[in-house]
Amino acid sequence: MAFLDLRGLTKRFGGTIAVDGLDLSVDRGEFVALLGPSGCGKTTSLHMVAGFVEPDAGTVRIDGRDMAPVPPNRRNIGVVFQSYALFPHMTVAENIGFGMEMRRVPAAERAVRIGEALSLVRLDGYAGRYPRQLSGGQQQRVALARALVIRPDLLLLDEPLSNLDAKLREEMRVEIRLIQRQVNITTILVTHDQAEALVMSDRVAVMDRGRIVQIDRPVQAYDCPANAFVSNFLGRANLIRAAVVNRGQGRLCLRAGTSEFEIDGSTEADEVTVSIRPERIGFVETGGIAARVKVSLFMGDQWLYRLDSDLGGLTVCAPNAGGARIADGAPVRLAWPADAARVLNG
Amino acid sequence: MAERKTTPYLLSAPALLVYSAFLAAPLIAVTILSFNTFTMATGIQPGFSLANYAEVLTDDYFHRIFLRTFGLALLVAAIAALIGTPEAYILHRMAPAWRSAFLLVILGPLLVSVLVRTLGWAVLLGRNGLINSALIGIGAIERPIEFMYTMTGVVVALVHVLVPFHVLAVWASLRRLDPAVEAAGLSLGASQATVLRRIVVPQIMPGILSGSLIVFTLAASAFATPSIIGGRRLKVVAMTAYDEFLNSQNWPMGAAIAAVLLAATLVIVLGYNRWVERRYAQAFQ
Ligand SMILES: Nc1ncnc2c1ncn2[C@@H]1O[C@H](COP(=O)(O)OP(=O)(O)OP(=O)(O)O)[C@@H](O)[C@H]1O
Ligand SMILES: [Mg+2]
Repeated sequence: MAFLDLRGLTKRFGGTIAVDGLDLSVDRGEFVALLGPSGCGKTTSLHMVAGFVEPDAGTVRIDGRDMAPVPPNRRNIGVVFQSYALFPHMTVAENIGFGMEMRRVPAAERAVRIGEALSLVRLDGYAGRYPRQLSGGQQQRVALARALVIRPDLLLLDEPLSNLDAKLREEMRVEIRLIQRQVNITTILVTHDQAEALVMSDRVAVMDRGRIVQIDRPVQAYDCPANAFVSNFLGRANLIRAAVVNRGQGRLCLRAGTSEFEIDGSTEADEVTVSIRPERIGFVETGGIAARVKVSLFMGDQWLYRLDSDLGGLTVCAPNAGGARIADGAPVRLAWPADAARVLNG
Repeated sequence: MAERKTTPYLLSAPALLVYSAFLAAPLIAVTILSFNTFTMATGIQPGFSLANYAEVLTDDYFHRIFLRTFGLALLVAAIAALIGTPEAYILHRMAPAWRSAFLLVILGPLLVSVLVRTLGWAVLLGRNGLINSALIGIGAIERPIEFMYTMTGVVVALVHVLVPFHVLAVWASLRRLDPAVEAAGLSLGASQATVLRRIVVPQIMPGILSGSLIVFTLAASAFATPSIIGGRRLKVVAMTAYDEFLNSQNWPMGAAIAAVLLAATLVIVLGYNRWVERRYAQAFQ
């Protein structure tokens, strides 16, 4: 049985339903990212797991044990809050030592572990500072150290990297992932940054309006989005509405506008929505679909082209391989491999 | 540029004028008055004499009154803190709808004149008042307890009159508290009581201390409640000054008493503020 098991978790605030029958199983040592737009109920879900918010319905089980009667201070869960929630009247060392103090860890051992935790988050020498004397990113790392140092059974991270600069964020992603592997701690990471979710997690759970709409390994979730919401939220996607002209042998022939194209897949419907990742579309000399460049955006490692075509507006990513960019307004032809397109359900 | 610098002063000038007219002017008048002399025969004599101050500062009679006043103020502030702080915390933890209702209940009494509330207490605390009748009725006591004209009665009534100020001060600092901070304490293994003691109280300490300060100064200068509940026997400084002005007609003496009360209160307030700031400068700014 899964280490953490959430069944039908539901929470209402007045008229609005924040979490709507959430099911989630996380194995021991697994790293799951809870990904979704702002206000979809990520924090509320996390708070129900930690015991700060009482669910209106549903159960939280940890290691097979129903958590309903267990108060938050007996759950041994490490939490990094979205607002860090450091104790402003305590120094960094006192903040990190607080959980161990509550567990009656002897002062000498406490001091050693505080030192270890500080170097883990690269804040050696900051032990005597007060939170208000730290930058947002430093506070976030103290919060992480404070949660890790108690050696919790479960680690809940609520957007722990949102206030770091891009470079430090990328480093900390790897860092947290390595720490998590090293101590093999079951972790749920809440984020609305899809790159963060894909990089860090074993599995990504995509949330929309209080429900999990897809849970999969990152590659799976990215390549085979379950619906339009997931395909749009996880990376960029071209969503194309098309009529089915012909079907058979796991292949579909589709028509959109005056263009026809073939993709892998099957469906019963006469009209489908397909999703094609912008990086899977290439420019070709002949054949393919006619399009016209509307605007091109330079992203450093790649070019992002927005085009008009028979299929509607399209987005194409091309690696910056040193060649000249295609001029705005230029006519081009586009093509993609048959396995690049996904038929979306619903 | 020069003009820019004076603009703030010019803008605040009207308020400053009103302020000085209504606060500074009477204060100066009282101070000047306190240096005059008075005899029954001649009335108030202008001049510069420290005789009034000498009397206030050396006479045992005044010592007792000042000691009683500040003792009373200290006790009232302490009790108001003990009642008001939990009251504010409970208010803070209530659901929003209940909170606004109870806030009104707590602050409502401030809309009623101190005199009316104090007279209410006089009715309740009297020999045949509601409290004594009830206690005798349930057989808890045989003879009525003396509340009127006792320190107990004055303290009870003053605490009731002043506790809303403490609640307001503490509540203001509770509202700045991040609710996640309490949750963080819980998740780290602290019990609810430990969270309160180690995490909530230290953070609202400035609120508790400033609330106590407000209650202390208001209690030290209270007039209506001590004079109605405490009566002649338990004179406080404000009553003494009043008596000098209106009964003895000795305005200079009344002015000197008032000036000493003001000075003593100022010294206490400023000293206390300095202490609080030093104590909490590290964590709060
Ligand atoms: N205490 C509360 N009272 C009322 N409504 C709330 C409360 N907490 C959350 N909500 C509502 O519940 C919904 C989910 O909130 P939640 O904080 O879980 O979102 P989130 O996914 O964490 O968003 P974000 O990415 O912005 O942090 C929101 O619509 C929010 O307005
Ligand atoms: Mg959130």
